[in-house]
Amino acid sequence: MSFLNQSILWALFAAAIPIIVHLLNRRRHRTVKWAAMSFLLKATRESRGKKKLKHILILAARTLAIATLIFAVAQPLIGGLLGWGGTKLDTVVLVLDRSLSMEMETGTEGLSKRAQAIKQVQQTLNEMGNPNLILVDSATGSVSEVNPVSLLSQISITAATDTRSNIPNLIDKAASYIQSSSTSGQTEIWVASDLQASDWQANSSRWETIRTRLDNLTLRPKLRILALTESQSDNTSISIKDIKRRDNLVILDFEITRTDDSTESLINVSFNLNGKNTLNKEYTVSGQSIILQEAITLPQDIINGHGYLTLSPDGNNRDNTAFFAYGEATPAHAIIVSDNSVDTAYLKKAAALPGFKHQSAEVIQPHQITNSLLTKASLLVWQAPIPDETKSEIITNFIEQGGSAVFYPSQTDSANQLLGVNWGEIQEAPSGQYFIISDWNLNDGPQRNYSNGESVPMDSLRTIKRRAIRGDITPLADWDDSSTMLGRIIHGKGSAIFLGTLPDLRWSDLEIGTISVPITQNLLNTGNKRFGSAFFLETGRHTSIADKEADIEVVSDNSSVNAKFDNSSSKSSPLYLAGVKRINERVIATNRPQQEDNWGKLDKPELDSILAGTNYQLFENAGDDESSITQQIWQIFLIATLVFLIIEAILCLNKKSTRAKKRDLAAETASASAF
Amino acid sequence: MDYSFIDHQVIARLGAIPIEARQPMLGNASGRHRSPLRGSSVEFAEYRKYVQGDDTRRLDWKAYARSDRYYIKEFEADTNLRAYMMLDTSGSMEFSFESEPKIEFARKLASTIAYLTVDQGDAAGLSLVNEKTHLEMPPRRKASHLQNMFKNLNEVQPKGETGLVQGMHDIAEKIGSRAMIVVISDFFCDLEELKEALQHLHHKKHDVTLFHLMDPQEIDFEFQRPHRFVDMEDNTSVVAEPSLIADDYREAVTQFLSDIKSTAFDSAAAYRLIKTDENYEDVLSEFLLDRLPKGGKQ
Repeated sequence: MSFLNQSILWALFAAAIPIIVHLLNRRRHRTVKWAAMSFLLKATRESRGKKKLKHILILAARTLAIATLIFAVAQPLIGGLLGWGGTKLDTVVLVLDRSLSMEMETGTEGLSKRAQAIKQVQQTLNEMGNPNLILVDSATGSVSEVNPVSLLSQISITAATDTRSNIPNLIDKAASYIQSSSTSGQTEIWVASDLQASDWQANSSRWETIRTRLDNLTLRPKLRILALTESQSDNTSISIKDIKRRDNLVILDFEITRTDDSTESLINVSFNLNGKNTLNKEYTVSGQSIILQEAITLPQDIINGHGYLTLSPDGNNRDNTAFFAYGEATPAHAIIVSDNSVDTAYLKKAAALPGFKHQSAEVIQPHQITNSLLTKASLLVWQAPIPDETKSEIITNFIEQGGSAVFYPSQTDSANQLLGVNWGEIQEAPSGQYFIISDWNLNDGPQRNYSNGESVPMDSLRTIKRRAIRGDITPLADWDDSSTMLGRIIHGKGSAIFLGTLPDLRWSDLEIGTISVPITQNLLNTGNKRFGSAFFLETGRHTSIADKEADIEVVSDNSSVNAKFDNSSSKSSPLYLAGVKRINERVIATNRPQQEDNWGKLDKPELDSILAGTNYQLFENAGDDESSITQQIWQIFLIATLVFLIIEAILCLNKKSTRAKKRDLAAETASASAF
Repeated sequence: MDYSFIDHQVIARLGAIPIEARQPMLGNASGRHRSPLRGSSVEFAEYRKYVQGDDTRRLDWKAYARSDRYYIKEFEADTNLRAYMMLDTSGSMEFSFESEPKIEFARKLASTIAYLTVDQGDAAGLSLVNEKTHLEMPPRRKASHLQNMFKNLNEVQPKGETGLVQGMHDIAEKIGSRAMIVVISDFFCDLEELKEALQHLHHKKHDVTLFHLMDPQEIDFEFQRPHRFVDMEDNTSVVAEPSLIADDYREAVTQFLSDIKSTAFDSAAAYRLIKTDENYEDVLSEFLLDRLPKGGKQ
């Protein structure tokens, strides 16, 4: 809590006046010669305890009445970013979460959490006499001074975005700013966020750096977390999981997610293609989320195009639209490199499924690999010893440009490494036993679950021979002895997969296809995405179009497809907004990052854990109207004063028994004053 | 010699009302008060049958002639009144807050009653008691005796603890029976002991009157700020917050007044509580009028 008239708090010494007067009175007693001593002693004995307690209560009531009156006059501010012990601030570094989830409506005025936070910060800073304000916003990641504070709600770097946030990165920037700046005096870091777990990244190693950095600052700044966790209404979002072009069809895999999963409901989805509404359809949703597929027939002679899917307005309108763009169907070609130690027929069949005209595969020898051969390939399957440096460079270039590569073990040894990985020893399972896959990632990697939620039966693989994977690699599937069966290295736009066994019955039953086909097809599709004229990108400065910000031409975005949208005077850069954009004749659909659909919040213990040792304070549900709270607190202190005065009066007066005793005495005196 | 506690105008006004005994008195001279003894005065009392040993000179021969029976004719005997002023001179009697000290009020009461007593031909005595001293002046009818009483009253200084109860027992034993005893005190003593002393006086058939002197502040206890109270009798002290103890103090005083009144009633003693801010003439006037026979005899 802080105070508008902080100087008046000196008057709190006045609260000690009743006690001082009491003590002085006790010291300054008059001496009286007294005759009726027996009554006095009797009364003194009987008055101990209860009367003394009453007297202490009277003193306490007087003291508290004065104290609360002074607090009321000092106009306490509470419930906002200020708390008990709030002092005059020189600089506030505001970390503003501009992620899409901050656009949820909150409070009674229907403001978004972001707008509410800005309003609250502005109001609080005004009340504090407008200290310097440094803004670190999540979308641009830049550190900028905002002067005057009233501009905070009007500038584009506080406007709504469809991006995600990296909160540890932002707090680190704020701490770095304090460390490097020459500002003197009291500085605080205020973080306005909805505590979305995916934005706060509780497992990030950066938190350790932040704690150390904050700890090393000469004047340890107070960290105030303005948590806007409460939302006013339910929310439903839509996102596109995959888009495929098949002749004159655009096949959309899209996901509907909702906050209220208690009842089954009908969700209406509108499909828009090239600016025209082509389909309205209702889907029954019973759980929290559902992945659906819809094929949209394209008009004749349409090669490129774009569109979007929209939901009805709800608690957060920014996630009600998912944009897409499409182009000509691109053939998926796989290059299979083998040293002929195993039969490549299975590898070829998995990469070019029979009946899939757009898929093709060719088998070559390791020495035949060239840059030009890989130019049109989506997938490289390498079943040979790790090549030498020259060939490795060709492969890493392919991966860097977005290609997918999968490496199977070779029968022969090689001292070479690719992306820091090579093969270890060959191991055989004891007779009558198999190596079993016990654990694998269901959400990420080529072995991830199907879009309908079914899992790839990795645990059904029976392996009698395997080869260890050596090097710094991210495991995606583990053998039952916790060694890596399938690992991934992301390099550039693509990735390299190392798989610890072969589709050969002398090694495993991988050739059956229930495992090798989905893995190969996933890798083929991923590698194929680097082709064509249509792209999906995430919003935000981490994407490949960040350096082409000036060339972005907006074809459609949220404000153009939804009339209820974005009435604020300022608007973010198209880089941070979802929509369909044209960049140098390329049409790109940008959508919010997938993490923004994970609505899980960071809880207090997690926050305590990541900010352990820092001087932090959490203000939960801060989306309420701050000004009204300030008013109530002021009144509460005044009411408290009155209550204490009334208590004091009741304790002091307490005339009932005194009057009764005086009446008895008067009656006794009167009756004794006659013969 | 003039004394401050003697107001001749008050005495003159009160002189119109005689001091009457509430019961027959035993005096040593003829007077205006009834005696328990049958004597030879002119006022017929009753006839009774002659019993052996009666003085034959008191036989009523006319009644014998009429009834042939022996009757003794009895007459009322009149005697004088012995009034005994008994003053408590313990330290507490010196207390005064905003009115005059209790001892001063006591001097006025005792001296005026003594004056009126002697003035109507009766005898007045004085007893001044405290813890250590017990000055006693037997009842006399002489004016010079009255002067000595005033002198002693004037010179007495209250001090020490009370010796009232012992003094009452002594008086009961020394002065025989059927005297008027006026006790003037604040009665800050043990009430059980006081009760025994009063019973002793009652047993001796004394006509006892208790004048209970209290300062108004001792009753009302209207102090506002903390005080250190020093006992006037033994100098012990206690610091107290009056606002905390006033109620209990008043309750104790109420109980004390009730108890002492009951004690007086049980011992057939007349009792009067006197606040020292009262007019002593009114108190005495009330005292004298209360003692007049209800039949209107003067």
